[in-house]
Amino acid sequence: MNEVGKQLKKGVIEILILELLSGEKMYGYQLIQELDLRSGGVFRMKEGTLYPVLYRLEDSKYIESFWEQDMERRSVPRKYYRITPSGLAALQGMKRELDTLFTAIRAILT
Amino acid sequence: MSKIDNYVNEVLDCIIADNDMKRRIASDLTLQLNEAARAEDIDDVLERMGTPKEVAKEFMDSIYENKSELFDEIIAERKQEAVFSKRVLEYKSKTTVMGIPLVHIKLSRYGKPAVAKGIIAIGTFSVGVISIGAIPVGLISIGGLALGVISLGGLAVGLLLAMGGVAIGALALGGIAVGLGAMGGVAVGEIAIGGVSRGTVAIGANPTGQYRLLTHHIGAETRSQVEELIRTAFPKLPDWIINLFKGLDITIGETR
Repeated sequence: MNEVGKQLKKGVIEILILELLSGEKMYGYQLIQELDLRSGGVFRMKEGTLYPVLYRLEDSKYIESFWEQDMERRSVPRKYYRITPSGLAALQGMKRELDTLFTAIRAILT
Repeated sequence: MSKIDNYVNEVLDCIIADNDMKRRIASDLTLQLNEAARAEDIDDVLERMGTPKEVAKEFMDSIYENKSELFDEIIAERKQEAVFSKRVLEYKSKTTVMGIPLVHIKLSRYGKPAVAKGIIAIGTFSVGVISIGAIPVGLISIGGLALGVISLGGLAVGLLLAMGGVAIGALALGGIAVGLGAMGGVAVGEIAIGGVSRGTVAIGANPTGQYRLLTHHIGAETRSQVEELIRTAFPKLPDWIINLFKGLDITIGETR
């Protein structure tokens, strides 16, 4: 992907992470896998890109992390992330912004 | 140390960030690698991730994506460096008391004199509660030419107390002391004690005044004489002032 593509991806990555977490709690590795799978490999994120985004979202109180252990399947605890009420509200706002942006871009490009 | 720990440490070595951020990255990266290693071979995972330098660069790119705060810090640091490299060395504390900086240091290296104003002021000229400098003015002033309520300096002028080479004040102590109460090599005052003393009450090796006590030592043996002399000259003088003088233990000039 060229530089423009990378920049465009960076612009929406927070929205995508919040969207995924609005459906269910996820751990870091799972987020990388889901983004890759659902985007057909377009959003194949590196750890160095994902975690700083998670830190920003966590510092903004849009998501929160917690440790959980699945006793039936594995003994090692995992660090999960879940969206907060303010994260949900922010996600709605971001989606509206994205809609506005897409509409404007389409109007120009078509 | 495991391959994962080694890899994470190498990544951290290449990252410029505060310790909290480094701890955060170390913890999450270790978790991530351990998680990935359950599904595939750790060597494959590390190869896919790239070299530690590449991973560190990704983190740095993302951490400092919004660089405005970082730039603000750099600009502030640069500004401070610029101030220090110029003619005036200045520090002003962010903490203020009634709008006045708690500490203000302003020193001119050369050129025009700098004036420091703060609760604690240090400068060529300084004005403050505690004032230190070549010419300090304040409640407590320490410096070359000190002006204040309590002053210490080469030339000290103090409303209450002055101490210095030349001291002028209500109570003055110095090489040359001038005051209501004066003690020094040369003392001039209402109550003057010194090598050469001149006053209403004059005590010392060479006293001149209405009430004189010729002595080379003030101590236990002269306590009652000093008290009597001062009380005679100033019958209404409070005890605490008299106690200041009669409590002295000093040698004046050469003892014979």
